[in-house]
Amino acid sequence: MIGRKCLTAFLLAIFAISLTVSFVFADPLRVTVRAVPVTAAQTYLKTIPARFKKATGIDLKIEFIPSRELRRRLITAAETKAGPDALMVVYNGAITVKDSLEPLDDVMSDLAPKHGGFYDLYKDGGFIDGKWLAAPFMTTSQVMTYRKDLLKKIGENPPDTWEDALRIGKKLKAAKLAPWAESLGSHVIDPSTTVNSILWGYGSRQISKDGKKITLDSEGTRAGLRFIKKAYKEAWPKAVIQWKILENNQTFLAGKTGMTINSPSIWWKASTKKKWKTLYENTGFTLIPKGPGGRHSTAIPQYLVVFKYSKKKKEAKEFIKFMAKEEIQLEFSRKSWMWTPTYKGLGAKLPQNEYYKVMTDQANYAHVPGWPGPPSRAGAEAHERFVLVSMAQRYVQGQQTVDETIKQAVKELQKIYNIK
Amino acid sequence: MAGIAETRTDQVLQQAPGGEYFPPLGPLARRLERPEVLGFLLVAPALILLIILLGYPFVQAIWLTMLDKHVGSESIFIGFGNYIELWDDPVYRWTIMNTMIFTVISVIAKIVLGLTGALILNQAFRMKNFFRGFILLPWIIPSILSALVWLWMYDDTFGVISRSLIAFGIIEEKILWLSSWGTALTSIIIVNVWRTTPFFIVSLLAALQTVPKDQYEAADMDGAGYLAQFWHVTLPNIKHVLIIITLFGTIWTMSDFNIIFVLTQGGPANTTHVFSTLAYQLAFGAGKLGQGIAVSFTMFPLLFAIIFFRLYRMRKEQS
Repeated sequence: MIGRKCLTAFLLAIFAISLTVSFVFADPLRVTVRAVPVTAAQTYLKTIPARFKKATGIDLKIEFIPSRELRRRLITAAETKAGPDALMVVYNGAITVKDSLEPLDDVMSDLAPKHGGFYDLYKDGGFIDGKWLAAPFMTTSQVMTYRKDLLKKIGENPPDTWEDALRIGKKLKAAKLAPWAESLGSHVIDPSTTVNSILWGYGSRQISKDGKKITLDSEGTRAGLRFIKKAYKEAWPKAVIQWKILENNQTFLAGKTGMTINSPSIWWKASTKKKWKTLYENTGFTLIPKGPGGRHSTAIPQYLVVFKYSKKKKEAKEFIKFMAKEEIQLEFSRKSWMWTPTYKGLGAKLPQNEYYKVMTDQANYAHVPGWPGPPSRAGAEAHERFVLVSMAQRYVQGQQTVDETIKQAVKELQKIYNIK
Repeated sequence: MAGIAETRTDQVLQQAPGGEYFPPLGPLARRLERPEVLGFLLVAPALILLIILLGYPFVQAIWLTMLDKHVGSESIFIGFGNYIELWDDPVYRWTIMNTMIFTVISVIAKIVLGLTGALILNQAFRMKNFFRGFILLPWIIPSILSALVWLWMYDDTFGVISRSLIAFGIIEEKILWLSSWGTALTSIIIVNVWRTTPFFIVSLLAALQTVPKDQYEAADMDGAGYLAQFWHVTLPNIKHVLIIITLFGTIWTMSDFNIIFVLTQGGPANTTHVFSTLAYQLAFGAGKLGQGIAVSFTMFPLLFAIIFFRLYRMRKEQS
């Protein structure tokens, strides 16, 4: 009898302990975001779980992964239906896995009207098939970064138009100073920014607004491509054809590039070491130049998505709301040097210097690759498969004439968009 | 045994050829006595594991190539639609050619360099053991790291290769290694050969050390020169190892990903893709899982043919 009592007591104890443990260590909300290279911003992000817990009572675990891993994680989570409850995505990542994502319209109806509304570019990658599937988090603007001292030497102001940029580039080259250089290799970020910004600026569009017609074969595309080739021949170093994402940063920091489009990471990096003090002081930002078709650029918008498989959708939506709070957006932006708030109205509350002003202004001209068509998997695929970048590469290297390279790209787009 | 035979009087005892007695076999035991049954049962656990770990994913992969499968979405059966669509894609056709060129040149280079390296390291010289270990370094370093180092070496601004060639007066202008199809593919092949040759060297070195010395002595007495000895003694003795490492080398080279992805990402203008990078671009970039797997699967018939032919020849020679 004693044995049976003991056993009962023991089992009850085990049950009570398990209950307590499962209560105390309940599954937290799991969110995966990219690691931030800026220490202060990364440290700040690490404080978010405690702040979130204090504000909402919800346990949160943030996992940091390298930015290049985000897409792989997105695809794997969507396909295996396992992984974080919410994930950061960039560009048009949400479109690729749209069927796996929880609609966020309820959250967005709360958030969208605040602070003058979101920048338009967020709709390009987040508002899919009439629903918000990705909530804006922050954006990293691509801006024209230049050396103030070098431009002064050649008697030039920062470029306002692409023709200004070419003139400056030619002068820098003639003066044997660090040249103007734009990445033109195969990568989804910097080379895509180079090609899209110029083509859009010259009036080129890959697809119509309604997404029903391939419109790449246009005078705007020809003019844009001719400009890229001219810049490649007369101003840029020949090596840009193999530059992907790091090279313009490295060469700028080494004093071997005088002007380049990049995220503000160069400026931040220059601030981190004594040896770059002069460079840091001489680094300036200006808007990406405009062309006859206006001022356009890509940016790197970052979103938060919630997976349908998540059992903590409600908590994940709370997290999205929390991260959209003014104090979080501003604080993170200040600490990160290169992320700017999602709201148009918050820019004025950031430090009023040329850097933050250019970063926030630039977001007004930014689009996600695939623009001006509605967000689509085809648009994302065309971007990921370097259709436009390859078109420019073939022409610049003289492998095809301007008409031949456009014809090939049109054929590729027709196939991807499934449009005859 | 004799005692047992005496006590079990209710059973008809049988006498083994050695004179021992044992009880008659039951039906199950009689079946187990048959070598084909026992053999199959012994192999069964391994076979089941193989089916679970290899067979299922393999069949699943074939099935996926027959689907219009987008990440996280419902799939539609399209038969050979993915393959037809791929065949219509110039990038895919270019990829087949690249993969062939990349694999054939790399494997031949690795055999030649591997054999040369093994023959050198098989000689007696000072610090022989140090060099035998040292030669393995490229093989030990994770391929992603070595690819990044080579990316830096190929760089036009900071890269050591162009700068050294200019410093030695070999070239006047920097070579843009990754800027065009020809130079980019050559650069990729160089890195692949550099990385995997140590495996060839070490494997062939091990094979060389098993060649009986007396065969060389006999050949020497017959007046065979170095080349004749290599041809008639060394090569026949290391042939099987050579075949096996060529087989592995072909498989590894054909499915290499890191080097190409880090160096070119398939560019410029999508001209340096191999099966693995194109498959990645389609599956992880565009989210077209079915088509991405179909690209990877293209390798299979080719690899299967090579493996089958090689192993068939080897078996035939052995028998």
